[in-house]
Amino acid sequence: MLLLRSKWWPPIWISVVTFVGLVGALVVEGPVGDIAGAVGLGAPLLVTVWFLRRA
Amino acid sequence: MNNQVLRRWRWWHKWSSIVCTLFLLMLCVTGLPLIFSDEISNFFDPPASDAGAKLFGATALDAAVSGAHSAYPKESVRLVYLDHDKQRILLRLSPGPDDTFDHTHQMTFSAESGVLLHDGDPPGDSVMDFILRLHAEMLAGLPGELFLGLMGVAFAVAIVSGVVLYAPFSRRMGFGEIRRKRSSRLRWLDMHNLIGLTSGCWAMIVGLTGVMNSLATPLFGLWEMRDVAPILGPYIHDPALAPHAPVSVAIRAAEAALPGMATTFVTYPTHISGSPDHYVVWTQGQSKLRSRMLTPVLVDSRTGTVAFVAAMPWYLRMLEICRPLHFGDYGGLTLKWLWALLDVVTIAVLGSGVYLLFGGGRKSRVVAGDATAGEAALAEELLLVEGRT
Repeated sequence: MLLLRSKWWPPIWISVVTFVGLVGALVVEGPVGDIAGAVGLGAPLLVTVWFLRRA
Repeated sequence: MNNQVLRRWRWWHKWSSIVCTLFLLMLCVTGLPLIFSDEISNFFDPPASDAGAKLFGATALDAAVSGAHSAYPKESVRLVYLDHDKQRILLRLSPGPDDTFDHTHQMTFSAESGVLLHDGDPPGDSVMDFILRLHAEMLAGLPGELFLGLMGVAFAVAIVSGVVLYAPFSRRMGFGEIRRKRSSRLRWLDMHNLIGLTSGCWAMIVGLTGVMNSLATPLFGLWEMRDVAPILGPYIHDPALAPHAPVSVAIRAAEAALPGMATTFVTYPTHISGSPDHYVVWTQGQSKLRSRMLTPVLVDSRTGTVAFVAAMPWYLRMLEICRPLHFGDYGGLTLKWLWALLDVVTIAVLGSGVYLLFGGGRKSRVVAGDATAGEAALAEELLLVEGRT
């Protein structure tokens, strides 16, 4: 029930993107891996900045 | 979640945060320059630019070792490091073969010709070494490492309890909502929640891999005791040998025994984390992940033949995989900058947490009632939650 509340979805998605990005950057060779890492860490930063600016 | 459970989680969040915050701040601040340690090292000591030449050949390796022996005839070579990034051979020497590593000094040779480039530690090294020791062990050796590991566990508890508290403490709010028109403490609480939630996964990964790193010394000790000591038993009372076989022969033999692996460093015969009769050739894989996984090969220092390939146990493989996830040095400069920004974000979470816990005032005492003065925002929220349950 708790997880069905809409405000849980953004942090869950951010966590999944971060985890997959960081592990992807470690496992995948070349620029694709580097991009995965950048997306994985860029997502939480962008979301943070977006909400802070909105406030 | 009833009030009692809520209070219990709040207790865990409060005290786990109080216990670890100061140390986490130190780790975040000292971690910042360590993220860019390669770039800082390259700034003070630029890499060679002889790309395309044959590097780390037998002639260069053996010339480097004989050059070190000529310069310091009474000293023992302890370690040969093949610096592929800077295309150099680094040698560490000490007065005796069983001196601790603190007593070694460095000589740097060209990876192409084996010519001496620099005698002594490179500039800037001692500063970065100090920061690293402060970050990893608070200059206190193994007790410092284990203590910081414990702080990492407290940090993980603070993150988990913080996520649990997020639900009741923002019941009527959407994700990322910041209540600008309420008290400044509630605004800080909302920002603390937002930044904590968005960076929580990264912080958890870095925290837990840091805990794993803090266990490196005992884990390596366990491996040496359980797996390596029985093999080295017959040699343990021998004096540390001066090798007859050149180091290049040992490297060639180790790489032939493990196809696809490349040598990263070699330790000379010693009783300190090594064998008195063998070179230990440390090899690594070629891919991004496998380059983090080391496999040691013991090579007889008299004959240059492989004596034993030491398979690493699962817990050391886990440690090796955890390391890059703590250092953030595996995805280029972009990843490093993002890593540094999240480090700063974590400092903001810690700072806002300190403000929420200790930044109380007159109003907080009135609102909080039985709570301590510094918990104003949390208490205010708690009262709101309790009023509805």
